[in-house]
Amino acid sequence: MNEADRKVFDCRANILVQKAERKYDALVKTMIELQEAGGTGAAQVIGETVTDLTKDLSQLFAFAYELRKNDPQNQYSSGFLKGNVSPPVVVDIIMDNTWDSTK
Amino acid sequence: MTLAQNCEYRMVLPIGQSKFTLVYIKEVSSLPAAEISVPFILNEANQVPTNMTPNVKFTLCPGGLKIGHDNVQLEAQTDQKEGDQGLSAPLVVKYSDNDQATGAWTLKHAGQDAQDPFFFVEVPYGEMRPRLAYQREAPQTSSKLAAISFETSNIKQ
Repeated sequence: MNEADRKVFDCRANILVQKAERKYDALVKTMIELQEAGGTGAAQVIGETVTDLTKDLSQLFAFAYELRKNDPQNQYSSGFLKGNVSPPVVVDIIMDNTWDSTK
Repeated sequence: MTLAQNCEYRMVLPIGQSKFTLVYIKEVSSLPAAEISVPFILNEANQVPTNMTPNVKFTLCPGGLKIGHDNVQLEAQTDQKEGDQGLSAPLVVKYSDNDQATGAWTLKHAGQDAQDPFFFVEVPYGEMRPRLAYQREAPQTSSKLAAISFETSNIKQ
Protein backbone atom coordinates (compact mmCIF):
# COMPACT_ATOMS: atom_id res chain seq x y z
CA MET A 1 0.00 0.00 0.00
CA ASN A 2 1.50 3.35 -1.04
CA GLU A 3 1.47 6.43 1.16
CA ALA A 4 -1.56 8.05 -0.48
CA ASP A 5 -3.63 4.89 -0.14
CA ARG A 6 -2.55 4.54 3.48
CA LYS A 7 -3.69 8.11 4.16
CA VAL A 8 -7.10 7.43 2.64
CA PHE A 9 -7.38 4.19 4.59
CA ASP A 10 -6.53 5.84 7.91
CA CYS A 11 -8.81 8.84 7.33
CA ARG A 12 -11.67 6.58 6.27
CA ALA A 13 -11.34 4.60 9.49
CA ASN A 14 -11.42 7.80 11.53
CA ILE A 15 -14.37 9.14 9.54
CA LEU A 16 -16.45 6.03 10.17
CA VAL A 17 -15.88 6.29 13.92
CA GLN A 18 -16.43 10.07 14.10
CA LYS A 19 -19.63 9.83 12.05
CA ALA A 20 -20.98 7.00 14.19
CA GLU A 21 -20.17 8.96 17.36
CA ARG A 22 -21.57 12.16 15.84
CA LYS A 23 -18.34 14.03 16.52
CA TYR A 24 -18.88 16.38 13.64
CA ASP A 25 -16.16 18.89 14.45
CA ALA A 26 -13.55 16.11 14.36
CA LEU A 27 -15.24 14.61 11.29
CA VAL A 28 -14.98 17.87 9.37
CA LYS A 29 -11.32 18.25 10.29
CA THR A 30 -10.57 14.69 9.14
CA MET A 31 -12.41 15.26 5.85
CA ILE A 32 -10.44 18.47 5.25
CA GLU A 33 -7.24 16.60 6.00
CA LEU A 34 -8.29 13.91 3.51
CA GLN A 35 -9.19 16.51 0.89
CA GLU A 36 -5.77 18.09 1.29
CA ALA A 37 -4.17 14.68 0.72
CA GLY A 38 -5.99 14.51 -2.62
CA GLY A 39 -6.58 11.58 -4.91
CA THR A 40 -9.65 9.85 -6.30
CA GLY A 41 -9.94 7.66 -3.23
CA ALA A 42 -10.25 10.75 -1.03
CA ALA A 43 -13.02 12.22 -3.18
CA GLN A 44 -14.92 8.95 -3.07
CA VAL A 45 -14.72 8.66 0.73
CA ILE A 46 -15.84 12.28 1.16
CA GLY A 47 -18.72 11.80 -1.27
CA GLU A 48 -19.90 8.61 0.44
CA THR A 49 -19.71 10.25 3.87
CA VAL A 50 -21.79 13.27 2.89
CA THR A 51 -24.30 11.15 0.97
CA ASP A 52 -24.78 8.97 4.05
CA LEU A 53 -25.36 12.04 6.24
CA THR A 54 -28.14 13.24 3.93
CA LYS A 55 -30.27 10.25 4.92
CA ASP A 56 -31.12 12.24 8.06
CA LEU A 57 -31.03 15.97 7.40
CA SER A 58 -30.75 16.71 11.13
CA GLN A 59 -27.36 14.98 11.03
CA LEU A 60 -26.44 16.80 7.86
CA PHE A 61 -27.24 20.19 9.41
CA ALA A 62 -25.22 19.36 12.53
CA PHE A 63 -22.32 18.39 10.28
CA ALA A 64 -22.87 21.47 8.11
CA TYR A 65 -22.69 23.78 11.15
CA GLU A 66 -19.20 22.47 11.91
CA LEU A 67 -18.25 22.50 8.24
CA ARG A 68 -19.13 26.16 7.78
CA LYS A 69 -17.42 27.01 11.07
CA ASN A 70 -14.22 25.27 9.97
CA ASP A 71 -14.33 26.64 6.44
CA PRO A 72 -14.65 30.43 6.65
CA GLN A 73 -12.82 30.87 3.34
CA ASN A 74 -15.20 28.54 1.44
CA GLN A 75 -12.39 26.26 0.32
CA TYR A 76 -14.07 22.93 1.02
CA SER A 77 -17.82 23.29 1.68
CA SER A 78 -19.00 23.55 -1.90
CA GLY A 79 -16.91 20.61 -3.06
CA PHE A 80 -18.09 18.46 -0.18
CA LEU A 81 -21.79 19.21 -0.66
CA LYS A 82 -22.52 19.77 -4.35
CA GLY A 83 -23.49 16.59 -6.11
CA ASN A 84 -23.78 14.73 -2.82
CA VAL A 85 -26.77 16.57 -1.29
CA SER A 86 -30.25 16.72 -2.80
CA PRO A 87 -32.22 18.79 -3.49
CA PRO A 88 -29.88 21.69 -4.31
CA VAL A 89 -31.85 24.11 -2.12
CA VAL A 90 -30.39 22.32 0.93
CA VAL A 91 -26.91 23.11 -0.38
CA ASP A 92 -28.00 26.73 -0.92
CA ILE A 93 -29.28 27.00 2.65
CA ILE A 94 -26.01 25.64 4.03
CA MET A 95 -23.76 27.69 1.77
CA ASP A 96 -25.67 30.89 2.57
CA ASN A 97 -24.51 30.50 6.17
CA THR A 98 -21.21 32.23 6.75
CA TRP A 99 -19.11 32.43 9.87
CA ASP A 100 -19.47 35.86 11.49
CA SER A 101 -16.50 36.48 13.79
CA THR A 102 -17.95 39.80 14.98
CA LYS A 103 -20.92 38.19 16.82
CA MET B 1 -18.92 34.12 17.12
CA THR B 2 -21.72 32.50 15.19
CA LEU B 3 -22.97 31.67 11.74
CA ALA B 4 -24.98 34.25 9.84
CA GLN B 5 -27.46 33.53 7.08
CA ASN B 6 -27.12 35.91 4.13
CA CYS B 7 -30.21 35.02 2.11
CA GLU B 8 -33.92 35.01 2.74
CA TYR B 9 -36.38 32.26 1.90
CA ARG B 10 -40.13 31.73 2.03
CA MET B 11 -41.91 28.71 3.46
CA VAL B 12 -44.68 27.83 1.02
CA LEU B 13 -47.33 25.13 1.51
CA PRO B 14 -49.20 23.83 -1.54
CA ILE B 15 -52.73 23.06 -0.30
CA GLY B 16 -55.07 21.87 -3.02
CA GLN B 17 -54.85 24.30 -5.88
CA SER B 18 -53.65 27.16 -3.67
CA LYS B 19 -50.34 28.07 -2.17
CA PHE B 20 -50.01 29.39 1.36
CA THR B 21 -47.02 31.23 2.78
CA LEU B 22 -45.90 31.40 6.39
CA VAL B 23 -46.04 35.01 7.57
CA TYR B 24 -45.28 36.66 10.89
CA ILE B 25 -45.00 40.11 12.44
CA LYS B 26 -41.63 41.37 11.33
CA GLU B 27 -40.64 43.73 14.13
CA VAL B 28 -41.04 43.75 17.87
CA SER B 29 -42.29 47.35 17.68
CA SER B 30 -45.39 46.09 15.86
CA LEU B 31 -46.36 43.67 18.59
CA PRO B 32 -49.45 44.44 20.64
CA ALA B 33 -48.03 43.10 23.91
CA ALA B 34 -45.40 40.54 24.90
CA GLU B 35 -42.38 39.69 22.75
CA ILE B 36 -44.24 36.77 21.21
CA SER B 37 -46.61 36.52 18.25
CA VAL B 38 -48.36 33.72 16.39
CA PRO B 39 -47.33 32.94 12.80
CA PHE B 40 -49.95 32.28 10.14
CA ILE B 41 -50.10 30.68 6.75
CA LEU B 42 -51.54 33.17 4.31
CA ASN B 43 -53.06 32.40 0.92
CA GLU B 44 -50.66 33.79 -1.66
CA ALA B 45 -53.62 35.37 -3.44
CA ASN B 46 -53.77 37.81 -0.52
CA GLN B 47 -51.40 40.66 0.10
CA VAL B 48 -49.02 40.34 3.03
CA PRO B 49 -50.00 42.93 5.68
CA THR B 50 -47.50 45.78 5.92
CA ASN B 51 -46.44 44.90 9.47
CA MET B 52 -45.79 41.27 8.53
CA THR B 53 -43.20 39.46 6.43
CA PRO B 54 -43.00 36.09 4.67
CA ASN B 55 -39.19 36.14 4.59
CA VAL B 56 -37.24 33.75 6.79
CA LYS B 57 -33.60 32.88 7.20
CA PHE B 58 -32.44 29.34 7.88
CA THR B 59 -29.47 29.80 10.17
CA LEU B 60 -27.36 26.79 11.09
CA CYS B 61 -26.87 26.19 14.82
CA PRO B 62 -25.45 23.19 16.71
CA GLY B 63 -28.96 21.78 17.15
CA GLY B 64 -30.15 22.20 13.58
CA LEU B 65 -31.70 25.21 11.88
CA LYS B 66 -33.00 28.39 13.42
CA ILE B 67 -35.92 29.69 11.39
CA GLY B 68 -36.59 33.39 11.60
CA HIS B 69 -34.79 36.61 11.05
CA ASP B 70 -31.93 38.06 13.09
CA ASN B 71 -33.30 37.99 16.66
CA VAL B 72 -36.70 36.66 15.57
CA GLN B 73 -37.12 32.89 15.99
CA LEU B 74 -39.86 30.40 15.24
CA GLU B 75 -40.44 28.06 18.19
CA ALA B 76 -42.80 25.40 19.46
CA GLN B 77 -44.10 26.78 22.74
CA THR B 78 -43.57 23.93 25.15
CA ASP B 79 -41.85 23.39 28.48
CA GLN B 80 -40.97 19.85 27.50
CA LYS B 81 -37.76 20.19 25.57
CA GLU B 82 -37.39 16.55 24.61
CA GLY B 83 -40.54 16.27 22.55
CA ASP B 84 -42.72 13.85 24.47
CA GLN B 85 -45.01 11.35 22.80
CA GLY B 86 -48.10 12.96 21.40
CA LEU B 87 -46.77 16.43 21.94
CA SER B 88 -48.82 19.20 20.47
CA ALA B 89 -47.70 22.74 20.94
CA PRO B 90 -48.72 26.09 19.54
CA LEU B 91 -46.20 27.70 17.28
CA VAL B 92 -44.90 31.10 18.28
CA VAL B 93 -42.46 33.68 17.03
CA LYS B 94 -40.14 35.01 19.71
CA TYR B 95 -38.52 38.39 19.32
CA SER B 96 -35.36 37.98 21.36
CA ASP B 97 -32.02 36.22 21.19
CA ASN B 98 -32.51 32.55 21.84
CA ASP B 99 -30.00 29.79 21.28
CA GLN B 100 -32.00 27.22 23.21
CA ALA B 101 -32.63 23.83 21.64
CA THR B 102 -36.38 24.51 21.51
CA GLY B 103 -35.70 27.04 18.79
CA ALA B 104 -33.99 24.54 16.48
CA TRP B 105 -35.70 22.77 13.60
CA THR B 106 -34.70 20.38 10.89
CA LEU B 107 -36.07 19.43 7.48
CA LYS B 108 -37.22 16.01 6.36
CA HIS B 109 -37.82 15.03 2.76
CA ALA B 110 -41.54 14.89 2.10
CA GLY B 111 -41.51 13.27 -1.32
CA GLN B 112 -40.34 10.03 -2.85
CA ASP B 113 -37.91 11.83 -5.12
CA ALA B 114 -34.96 13.29 -3.24
CA GLN B 115 -34.71 16.02 -5.88
CA ASP B 116 -38.13 17.44 -4.93
CA PRO B 117 -37.75 20.55 -2.77
CA PHE B 118 -40.62 19.58 -0.44
CA PHE B 119 -39.96 19.13 3.25
CA PHE B 120 -41.58 18.60 6.59
CA VAL B 121 -40.30 21.09 9.15
CA GLU B 122 -39.81 19.19 12.38
CA VAL B 123 -38.10 19.28 15.76
CA PRO B 124 -34.70 17.54 15.46
CA TYR B 125 -34.96 15.53 18.69
CA GLY B 126 -37.34 13.23 20.52
CA GLU B 127 -38.89 9.97 19.40
CA MET B 128 -41.93 11.55 17.79
CA ARG B 129 -40.22 14.62 16.33
CA PRO B 130 -43.18 17.04 16.32
CA ARG B 131 -43.50 18.85 13.03
CA LEU B 132 -45.22 21.92 11.68
CA ALA B 133 -48.85 21.32 10.79
CA TYR B 134 -51.92 23.31 9.86
CA GLN B 135 -55.60 22.69 10.48
CA ARG B 136 -56.96 20.50 7.73
CA GLU B 137 -60.44 21.99 7.84
CA ALA B 138 -60.83 25.09 5.74
CA PRO B 139 -57.49 26.86 5.85
CA GLN B 140 -59.23 29.35 3.50
CA THR B 141 -57.39 32.64 3.58
CA SER B 142 -55.22 32.13 6.63
CA SER B 143 -54.68 29.61 9.40
CA LYS B 144 -52.67 29.22 12.56
CA LEU B 145 -49.87 26.67 12.73
CA ALA B 146 -48.91 24.15 15.39
CA ALA B 147 -46.12 21.71 16.09
CA ILE B 148 -47.65 18.29 16.44
CA SER B 149 -46.78 14.61 16.49
CA PHE B 150 -46.92 13.23 12.96
CA GLU B 151 -49.10 10.33 14.12
CA THR B 152 -51.88 12.63 15.26
CA SER B 153 -54.93 12.32 13.03
CA ASN B 154 -56.91 15.14 11.43
CA ILE B 155 -53.82 17.19 11.00
CA LYS B 156 -52.28 17.61 7.62
CA GLN B 157 -48.56 18.14 7.41
